[in-house]
Amino acid sequence: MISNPISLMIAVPLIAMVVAFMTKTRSQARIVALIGSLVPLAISLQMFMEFDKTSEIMQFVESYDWVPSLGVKYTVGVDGIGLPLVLLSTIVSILVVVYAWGENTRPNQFFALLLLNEVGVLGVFTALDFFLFYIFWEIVLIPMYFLIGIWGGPRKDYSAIKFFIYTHVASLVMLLSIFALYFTYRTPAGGRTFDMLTLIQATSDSTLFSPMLVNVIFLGLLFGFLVKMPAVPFHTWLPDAHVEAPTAGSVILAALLLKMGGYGLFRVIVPMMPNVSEHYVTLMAIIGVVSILYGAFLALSQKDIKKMVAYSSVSHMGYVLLGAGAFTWLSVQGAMFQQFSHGLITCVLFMSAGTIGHTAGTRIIPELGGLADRMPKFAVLMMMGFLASLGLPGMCGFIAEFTVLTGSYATLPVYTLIVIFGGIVVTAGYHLWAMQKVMFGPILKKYLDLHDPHSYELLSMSILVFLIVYFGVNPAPIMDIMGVAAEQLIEGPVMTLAQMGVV
Amino acid sequence: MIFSDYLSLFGAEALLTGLALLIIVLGLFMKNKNLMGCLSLAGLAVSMYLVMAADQTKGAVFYGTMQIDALSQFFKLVFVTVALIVVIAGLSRYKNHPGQDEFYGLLLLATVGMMVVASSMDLISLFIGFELASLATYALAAFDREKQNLEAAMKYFIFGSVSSALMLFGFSLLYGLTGTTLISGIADAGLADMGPVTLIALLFVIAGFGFKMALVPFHMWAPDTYTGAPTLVTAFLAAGSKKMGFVAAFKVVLIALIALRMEWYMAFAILAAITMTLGNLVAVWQNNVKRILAYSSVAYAGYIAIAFVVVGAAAGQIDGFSIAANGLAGGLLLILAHAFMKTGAFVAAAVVAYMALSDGKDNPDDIEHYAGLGHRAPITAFCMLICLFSLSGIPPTAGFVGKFVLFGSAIDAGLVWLAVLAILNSALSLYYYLRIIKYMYVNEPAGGKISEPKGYVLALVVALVGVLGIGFFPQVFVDLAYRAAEVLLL
Amino acid sequence: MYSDYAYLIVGLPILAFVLTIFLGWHLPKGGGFITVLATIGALILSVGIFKEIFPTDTIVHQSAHWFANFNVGILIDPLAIVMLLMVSFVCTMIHIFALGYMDGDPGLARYFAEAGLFTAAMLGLVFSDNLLQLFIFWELVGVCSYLLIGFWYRKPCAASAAKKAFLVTRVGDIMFLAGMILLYTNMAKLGLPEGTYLLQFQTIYENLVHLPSGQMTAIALLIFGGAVGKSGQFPLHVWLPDAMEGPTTVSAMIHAATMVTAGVYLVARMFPLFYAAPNALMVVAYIGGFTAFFAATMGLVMFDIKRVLAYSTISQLGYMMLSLGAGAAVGAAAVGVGIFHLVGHSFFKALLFLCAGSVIHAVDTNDMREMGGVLRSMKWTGLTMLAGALALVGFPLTTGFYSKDEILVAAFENGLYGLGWLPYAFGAVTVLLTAVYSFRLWFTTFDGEPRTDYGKHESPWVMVGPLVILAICALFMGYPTQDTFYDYVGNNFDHYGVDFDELAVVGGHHIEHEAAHEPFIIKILPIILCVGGILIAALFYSRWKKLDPGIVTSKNDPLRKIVLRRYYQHEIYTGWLAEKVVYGLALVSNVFDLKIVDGAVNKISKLTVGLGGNVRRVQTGVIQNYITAIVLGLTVLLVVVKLGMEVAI
Repeated sequence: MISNPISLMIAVPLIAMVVAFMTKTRSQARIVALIGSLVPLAISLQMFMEFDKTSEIMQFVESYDWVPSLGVKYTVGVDGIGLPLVLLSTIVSILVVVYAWGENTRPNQFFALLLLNEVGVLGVFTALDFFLFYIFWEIVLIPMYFLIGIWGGPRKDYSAIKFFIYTHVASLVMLLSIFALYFTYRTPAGGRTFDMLTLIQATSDSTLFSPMLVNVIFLGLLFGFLVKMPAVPFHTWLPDAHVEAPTAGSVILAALLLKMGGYGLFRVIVPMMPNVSEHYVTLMAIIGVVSILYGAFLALSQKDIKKMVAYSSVSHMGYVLLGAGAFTWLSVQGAMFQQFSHGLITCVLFMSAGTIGHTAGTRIIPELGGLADRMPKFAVLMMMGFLASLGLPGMCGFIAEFTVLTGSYATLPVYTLIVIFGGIVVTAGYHLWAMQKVMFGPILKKYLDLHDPHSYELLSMSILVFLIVYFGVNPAPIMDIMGVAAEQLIEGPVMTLAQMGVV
Repeated sequence: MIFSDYLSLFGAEALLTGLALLIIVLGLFMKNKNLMGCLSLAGLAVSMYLVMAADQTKGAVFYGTMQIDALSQFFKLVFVTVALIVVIAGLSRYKNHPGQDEFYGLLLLATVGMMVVASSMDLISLFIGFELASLATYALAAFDREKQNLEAAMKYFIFGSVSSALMLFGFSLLYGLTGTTLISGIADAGLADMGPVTLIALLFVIAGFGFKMALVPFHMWAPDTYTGAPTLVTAFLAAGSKKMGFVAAFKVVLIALIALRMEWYMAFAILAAITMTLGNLVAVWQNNVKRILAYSSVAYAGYIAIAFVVVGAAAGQIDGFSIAANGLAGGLLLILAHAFMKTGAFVAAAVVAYMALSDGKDNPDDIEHYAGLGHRAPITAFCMLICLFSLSGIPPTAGFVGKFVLFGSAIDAGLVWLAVLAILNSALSLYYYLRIIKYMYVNEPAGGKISEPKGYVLALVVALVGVLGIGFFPQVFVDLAYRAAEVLLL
Repeated sequence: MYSDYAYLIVGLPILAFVLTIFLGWHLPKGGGFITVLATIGALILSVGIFKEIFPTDTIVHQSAHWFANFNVGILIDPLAIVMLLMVSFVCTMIHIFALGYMDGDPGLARYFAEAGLFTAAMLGLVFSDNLLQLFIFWELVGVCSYLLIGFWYRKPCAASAAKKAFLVTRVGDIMFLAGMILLYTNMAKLGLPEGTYLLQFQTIYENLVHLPSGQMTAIALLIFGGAVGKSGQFPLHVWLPDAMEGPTTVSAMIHAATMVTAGVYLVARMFPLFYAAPNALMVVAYIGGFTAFFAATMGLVMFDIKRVLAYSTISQLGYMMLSLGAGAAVGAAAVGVGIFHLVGHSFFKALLFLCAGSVIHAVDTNDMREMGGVLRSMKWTGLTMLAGALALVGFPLTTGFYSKDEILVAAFENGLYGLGWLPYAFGAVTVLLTAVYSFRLWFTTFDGEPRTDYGKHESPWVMVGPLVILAICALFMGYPTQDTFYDYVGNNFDHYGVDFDELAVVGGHHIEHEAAHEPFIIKILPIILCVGGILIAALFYSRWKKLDPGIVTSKNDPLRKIVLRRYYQHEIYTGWLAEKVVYGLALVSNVFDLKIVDGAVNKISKLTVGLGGNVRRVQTGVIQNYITAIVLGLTVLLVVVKLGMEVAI
């Protein structure tokens, strides 16, 4: 039993980051990074063990005054919404470190940035104070900007700045809504507070928040999260960022940063949905469906395998939006699980794309062929990843998508059917097409001297594949706590920490 | 009231004045003048202590022309800190420089002038302080005696005098209307029903201060002067004397001319909007880092001016007081933050200029010279990085805290359009800050590692501590700002 | 006692999969014997369980919570157990055969691993106790077929055939998925007690009568859509012939035991639902009948021995669907009939494919035109294949005879009750066609003179053995078992207290099931047709050929062209739908994304920056201009504020 596990979990990589930055050699840097991400993993696992899986209240809560005169507190805690993503972050972070084991250019900065990124996402998934939340939300931009800017491809400057400014604007819009919440609500004592749960709960008080005001606030927050997710039509920063980013960067971007948007949906948007106009639910559903279909078609048309995977992320995150919009017990927990499973699956996909890129020297699908002949182990792992991504039963992707669709049909039948008939086959189509072109068929002359990639790349990929299959066969450990959280969200209203009796 | 009391109140000013004179006199005899820097450093350190120690309850002295209160001490703190950082950097910059005694002397005098402005509650004393600071800085602007220095100083001087003229004209109108120069007196005189001439007076006053604050369209001199003047002086101008404009404006506009609320509310709304937008838009196009920073501080003048608008809008709202307090506190926090991060940024620029010159490059402030700075001068680059992120309002930094409170108060006051504009602007500003950052960390270094002068490094570290300190522990500074704000509103 | 280990029926093959995939490379024959043993183990378990539940007429049901409100479970009732027996038995035969057939292939371990998984998936599909679990194994079957069809992945045609199979069946799968989701939602609306697993078959059977009729028709049709995909019914049959790109043993598994039967099994499993939705049943009957005929026509003209068999599979599956479709008339008995034909077919089709494989193994070509007279060198193979052919055409007293006869009778009754004569007509004609193409195949392959000099040697015993066993089943299993089989499987749903009359009322059709009284001619028509067909084939293709095919069709006979081009399905599906429509749409959306969506973003930033470029020009550096600007600004400010005040007041 650790006291203040969450703070510790955030502090360790922060310190490790500083240390890693100071290191001189690659071996030092990566060892520091490994330790710095191993400890959080251990802590999060410990938390998962101790977590009371049957209760919907916040757990491991810590709360200290920070800026009392502004009502800012340092409050962190996890519940069924946050914990799985914390787990995901710690797992992915360490696996990324392992995958990037051979990084040669400016290794100390590279690993330091990976750690800083872990700090940011862990903070976002645990913060319960809007001020704190926003700080972590913005911090995440910095490491990703440098990862793209320094280690990126030919158009890195454009992509990095586009990523930073585009998402920053979204966060600022979100900030405006946060201000509106902050200044409209007064604590019984007459002061102000940034406490997330309190403010969200307050939105249901129509004497305080006029319907019009709630709708505006809701839209602002929704926009902030949609851009992060990203949902069509606010997705165009993503493919650029992914194509230029180094593999590790893409993995983190897709596996963790996009999840921040989804997390926002469940933490903030879904609880507010009963208080806002019906049209916004429809809007969410439409955007979700469009993202799924449009993303799939875009993926189908790509030549660059990495860009294809990037668009597939857009498509998959659409399920999260659809599930949240459907607002049923099943769909919401399905959407949460989609976050988790996509986090795992997309890692394998981007690692595959990266490995192909740096072994074969190109990521252009038509120029590749028959790689399976020379890299059998890698081929198996990649294929597992692709099959999982196209929603093959027995892997976690299917569980998530099935649950979302089954849950959504009850409230959004038409949209659900559109997704089923319009999206699934196309999704399967581009995955299989890419597999066939890249892996199968006769091996091309120029690739005859290829061989399986480094053991550490295979290692991190196989761990991910194992997890994908494991949670596909036995989703209950994660799914059940999500179910509890989803029930709380649907039946509402949000409980404040005080009402939970944890502060 | 006996002399010692005054000393306890104005000890800092007295000390600095004496020190300034002493330095100049000593300069006439002494050969090794490196001592001067240390002297003024010590003097500033002591006076910083005195400023903080000064009892703020004594209220008005000198027949109500001067006043010690939270506001005045807040600004004095800002001025002294800026001067301190500049002096520390100066220890390296003007080491063994024949005229360094004049540099320090003028710097201290300018500081004193600003402090006087911060305290004065009377138009006359305010003007005197203003001119003292201005004259000293005119000289400083030409200090390195290079061509662009002289041009900068020239422009600065001309515009300075124009601004003084406009200001005086405004003052005289007020005096004519009310028959008093006491700020409190003017406030009570009931300007509201004195016809359109009051508006003229108001606008001239605003214009006069607008020069120092560098509000569009009175900002024209700023980019040229900031670019041309010696970098340390630029730091002092941008971070210091600009704030003098604000404190003066706060006193005169918010207290004396409160009767003309609607008028200046509108005027500042327009000025703030134009200023921040124009500043950012133009900064995007610059390749000279000092010029980029100059325009960014124009933009910052725009942000800070939002405080006036908020106060104007707050009046007559339910709990208007707390809204106005938020606005002013936000403005003051941003002023404090800007003092730290701008000084830091300019000092860093100075390091690069020094580096570029030692490489034998011309136009030393060109952004090209920042290529690979992270490798060549890690400490400088890192401090610059933090200062730039702070300028663009990325948490957890001083800049973020200031913008957070200020923009928030705008929402609170119902000025959504202004808040949105401000937020879009600070997003736009990211573009050129990131450009510098990119050069520093992404581009390949143009030369080998350089040894960063100790003085600069120390100055940078002080600035860095300030920026991050406010960012991580805002509480104490927020309280300071609120107390200062209440002075203006009560 | 065996039923306690029911989970091992799937567990063993999966274990075999894991072992072979990791250790197979180091074992002799790629560790194939592991898979064989595992399958035998599954067979033994199935037999054991059968021995337990058959006489006592009970069922095995185990269930456990999975996630949300879904469960995992095992359900072994008559319908399931006969399938289990068939699958495990036939797979055992095929795997043993493969030991010989696949010997020496570099990817041997991979083959046996995937084959093991394939078997496991099929067995799991059969004994699932809820629709979701069934769907999961269903998809697993799909992906295994993908892996096995693409087993020789270096051959581009194999890779693309695998992809095609996966995608086309996926089209069916999504209908299945949609049907399942509809079913779940409707069940959920019934307000059953908390914690009921809504997709459990038992729950479904018990609550069918409460579901709205219209919804049930939709659900039934969607689920049938899934079956159409898997069982290669028209119009989703196109993947099945291409599936020949895999090793012949794989084709045998897909066509006989594992994959294609899944669709028929699904419809049988959901029969009560279909029974409550007569319109859906009618669709089943028509699709089945048409597919039987349609595929047979293509079987007539193929020269690739495996393709002929492939089309015959599609045709036979059509029969099975037809019989189930006739269920509207004959009630649950249809399930007995359909499944009986399924089992019988799996024997003789496995036999036929393995024989074909054995022939190809020796002759080393798929093209019948390069064979001829193979019987001389391969007695065993030839004779066993003859047995298979006889069973396929439903020659009297063979297994195929009984089932096909029953199916036609059922179809006839279907017509009798005014549900349309077309299905019966299709079925009857197809008997003739079947006979013709089957014996065309046999004669051209084994009879006459060798047309090329091919390798002449009988296959090793490890291959011939299974052939013999299967031949025996194909010939003699039918007569002794049929009656028991019919009522054992036919009464499957009594275990759940499904009241078919009530369902009939829900479905809005009611039929008194008095003993069918079809005229004698109907009884003997199949015999006449199949004997006639054999004779026709003999006349055209056997050694004493009296007629030349040319008299029926000539090279440039348009009909023949169409059939040879397989009714241009490839052109329509791949060439037009996939490459033109879908991919075209994708390209369009890509351009749209770059030019419009992202273009807007870039445009905005360009405009903003460009604005700065213009404003900047004011900063000339000339003092006069500055002063002018200031004076101007001051004046403007004055005016604006003044006007503003006017407005405000």
